[in-house]
Amino acid sequence: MSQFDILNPTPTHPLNPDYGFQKKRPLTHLNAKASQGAPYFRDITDTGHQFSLNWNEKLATHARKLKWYYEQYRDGFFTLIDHEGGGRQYVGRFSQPVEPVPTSHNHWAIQQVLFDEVPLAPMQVYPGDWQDDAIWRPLLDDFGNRMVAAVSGTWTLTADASAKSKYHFANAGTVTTDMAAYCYVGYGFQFWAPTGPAGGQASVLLQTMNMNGSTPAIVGTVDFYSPAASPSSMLLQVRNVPLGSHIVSLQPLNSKDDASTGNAVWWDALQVMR
Amino acid sequence: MSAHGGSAPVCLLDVVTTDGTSYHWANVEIDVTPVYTGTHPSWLAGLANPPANYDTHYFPWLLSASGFQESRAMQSTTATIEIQNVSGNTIQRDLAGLLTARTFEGALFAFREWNLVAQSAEYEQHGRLTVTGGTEMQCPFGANPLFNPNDYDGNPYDYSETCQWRFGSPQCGATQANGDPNYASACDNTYQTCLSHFPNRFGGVLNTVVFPPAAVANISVNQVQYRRQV
Repeated sequence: MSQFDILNPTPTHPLNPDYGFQKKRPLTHLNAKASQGAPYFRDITDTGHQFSLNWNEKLATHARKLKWYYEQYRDGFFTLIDHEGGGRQYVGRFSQPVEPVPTSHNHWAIQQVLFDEVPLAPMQVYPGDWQDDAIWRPLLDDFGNRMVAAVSGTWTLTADASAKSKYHFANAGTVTTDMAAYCYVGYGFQFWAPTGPAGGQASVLLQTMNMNGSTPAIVGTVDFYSPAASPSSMLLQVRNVPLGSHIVSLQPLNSKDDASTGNAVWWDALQVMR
Repeated sequence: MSAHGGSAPVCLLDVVTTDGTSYHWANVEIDVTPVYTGTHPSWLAGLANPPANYDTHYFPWLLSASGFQESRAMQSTTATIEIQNVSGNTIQRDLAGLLTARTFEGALFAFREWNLVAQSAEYEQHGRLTVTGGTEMQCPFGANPLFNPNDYDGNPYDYSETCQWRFGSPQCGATQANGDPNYASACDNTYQTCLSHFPNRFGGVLNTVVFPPAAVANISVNQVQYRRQV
């Protein structure tokens, strides 16, 4: 049940919504701006995508099944596949009752049914089109404001022309309680950073904010060592993360590859799935 | 102001918290000679692109400022200053961190409307801030002017023809028991009975009403207006 119950498993499935449905993502951030000057932004909610779906010329059995999906998952979630959008899956529910209208003998129209994606719901297949759906979360926003937080320890912002952020966030890597963190709204993420001959090792932690609270969990270990200095690349990908407000943290391990000359750890940018 | 054409006025706000830390906010990012300067906040070190001169740099955090009024009757009103509470890294808001680290209640402020062409202030008020609340979007401060007759101490005593000192208190000065037979009468807080104790310590105000025939010219000793508010 739940994420394993797919409303429209195939493009030709009778419950696949009519072509041309509306998909949108409500605003999830605040915008504060003085009368003149650059605005400030902040993500505050993890509201997901919303679909407005239509089914025309459906048989009564199909109309009844759509009503069943509303009743069954009114307080839960099921999976909708966006076949026209590349087959990406979404988990959510119909947020309004399904009300079929007869159009001809044994034919029904079901119009403007709202499907709301729900946060923190597990998915059968998590989104993974990093090319089209993911966005960059650099260390600085476009206005030059620092978005990454130095939670503890000494972290230095250093210009780096080859980095996605044009900077990297550097730490000596010898204190295991040092931590840098970044909060984003979305699904999984990719951790990007440069590597070099003095690179050490660090843990990447993920914390998801929910009503019951949560503690950071290690989702991977990254090694910043490479024989020669290398520009930023993707060192870790964590894909199976439900929609939500997440905090990615980097904590040095005070360890290194035997060939490394140092313990330094770096952070360039996150690519987060939206 | 808008009716005069040109761009909207630039509003500048200097704030010095009670520990001497200074902040400079405006409704536009601008560099202007400040009214107040002070210790730079540690928050400054965390900025990716700190200004060349913190003391003259005004960050565009001032969303609105309203309620600055002047009165011939010297009435004083509390203005409202709204500061944005959105900026900051993704973990913590700037202003939330500043409010936690420093005490803004009672912070000294100078608010100016700045004429860009004349490079001078068209209006300037100095006062003290009071924290009135806060939302995810903005933090409102109450702004009380330094010139505020409401803050002046007035006469703490009642206007009364009867003495308001407690018998035997330091203000009264009497050292004997009330009703001591060596004195003509016990104190009943009137000037008449006080005459037999310490008349120059009498804590009342005698009305100069003459009730003919007056036993003592210009001073009523028989008729007493008891304590009342005026």
